[in-house]
Amino acid sequence: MNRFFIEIIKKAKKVNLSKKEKAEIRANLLVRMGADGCQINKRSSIFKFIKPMPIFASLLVMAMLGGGVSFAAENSLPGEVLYPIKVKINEEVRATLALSGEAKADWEARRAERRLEELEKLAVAGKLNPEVKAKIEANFEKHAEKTKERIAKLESKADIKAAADISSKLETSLRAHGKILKKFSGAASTAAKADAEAHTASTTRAAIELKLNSETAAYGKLKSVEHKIQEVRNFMEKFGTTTAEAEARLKLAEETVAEGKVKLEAKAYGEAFAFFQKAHRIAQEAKLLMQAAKELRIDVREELKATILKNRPH
Amino acid sequence: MNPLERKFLKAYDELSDAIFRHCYFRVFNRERAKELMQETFMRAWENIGEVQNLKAFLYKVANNLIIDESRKKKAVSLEDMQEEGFDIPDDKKDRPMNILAGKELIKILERLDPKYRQVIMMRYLDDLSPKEIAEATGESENNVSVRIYRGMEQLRRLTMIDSRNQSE
Repeated sequence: MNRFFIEIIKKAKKVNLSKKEKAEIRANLLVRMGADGCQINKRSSIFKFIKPMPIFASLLVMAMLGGGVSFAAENSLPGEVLYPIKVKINEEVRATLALSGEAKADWEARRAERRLEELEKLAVAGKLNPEVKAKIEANFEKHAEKTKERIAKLESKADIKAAADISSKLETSLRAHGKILKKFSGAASTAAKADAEAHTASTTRAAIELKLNSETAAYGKLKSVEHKIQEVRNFMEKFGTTTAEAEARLKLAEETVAEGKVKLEAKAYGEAFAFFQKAHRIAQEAKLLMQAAKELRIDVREELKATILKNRPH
Repeated sequence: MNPLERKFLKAYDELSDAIFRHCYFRVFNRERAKELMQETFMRAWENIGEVQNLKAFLYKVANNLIIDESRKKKAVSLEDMQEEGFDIPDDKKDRPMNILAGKELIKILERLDPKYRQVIMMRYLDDLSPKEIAEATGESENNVSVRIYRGMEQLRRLTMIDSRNQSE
């Protein structure tokens, strides 16, 4: 071998830790080894007896356990030592951390999903027995119910888009889990439950979307007719045609808009839409007549009067 | 102290220098190398129950940490280190020589294929057997031996060219 290389290697091997550095790091390691008194393997049922507790107690427990245990608990399954921590501490803390109605609904849906995921993992490991399954199903139902309640709450607070989004997410994930669960012979009942909830979520979503659509459409029409009226006014100003009658026309259009707005307040979106559309027609007619008058220099006052009489609200 | 703890600390006493060196010749920064070495042992401790060959495991962990390191921040390029050479704490007497030797080695290492570089360093700097290297890197022993051979061939070529240049 090359002498040059050997020389270099010899020098490189001299790169060492000083005694002090070595001892320092050794001490750090000892600290870590001592802190690992949490010999979880030895004591098996220590966490079983966690009762529902006020949230500050949960946070205190979390702080005492340290991030490592909390984190380790995340992958645990029903029947394992850390599972109670996952469900009764971690999940509760996260529920509290969710501040908005949407975040709360979202987390509740996620919890329901987690129950299904746990069941699937158990099934794959061959550890699914009827007792455990029943427990998981019960918890799943509980969270699914809570999610539905939260979605309804969002709807009532007119946060319709969020309600639709969460329903949709829930529907998709439950359908997927339903398919997965069907593959396990022991999980047929759970698959059925997942499908049932997916179906409910789907119906809810469709209803919300319908609402969302007609509401959006009504607001859209309102905007459109308000633009139209402004457009006609601009036209009038520009060409100064038959001011009095056109004004009356526009006034009619505006009154119709006002009626539509009343319906909007009452959330009667279909009727509101109809009013706005009518107002739009009236405004448009006014403009056309004015345009025609300008082009053809016909006196359109008679036409306008007739339209007003015809469309007067009764 | 239980037997597991004893075993672990013994491994530390015997291998900490080697692991530190191994890290140092990848990141070329003393402090960082120390941190990586400490982290390596900490992680080894976390898995102490399941590990069969502690030595191989330590190198494996160290390598993974080094890879993560180079992904996170742009790896200290070997070019940057050309200026510094080695970083030896106490031997003031040897200093000028060391810096020079360091620069040479780094220049050569830079030109060496990274795959060869790793196994050669593990073989000659860390004194691992091909079998141990295989375990630490997850490659087959055969691949390791082949790489060592090819690496040495390339190294020979590179150092011969260098020494030829120096004598001219």
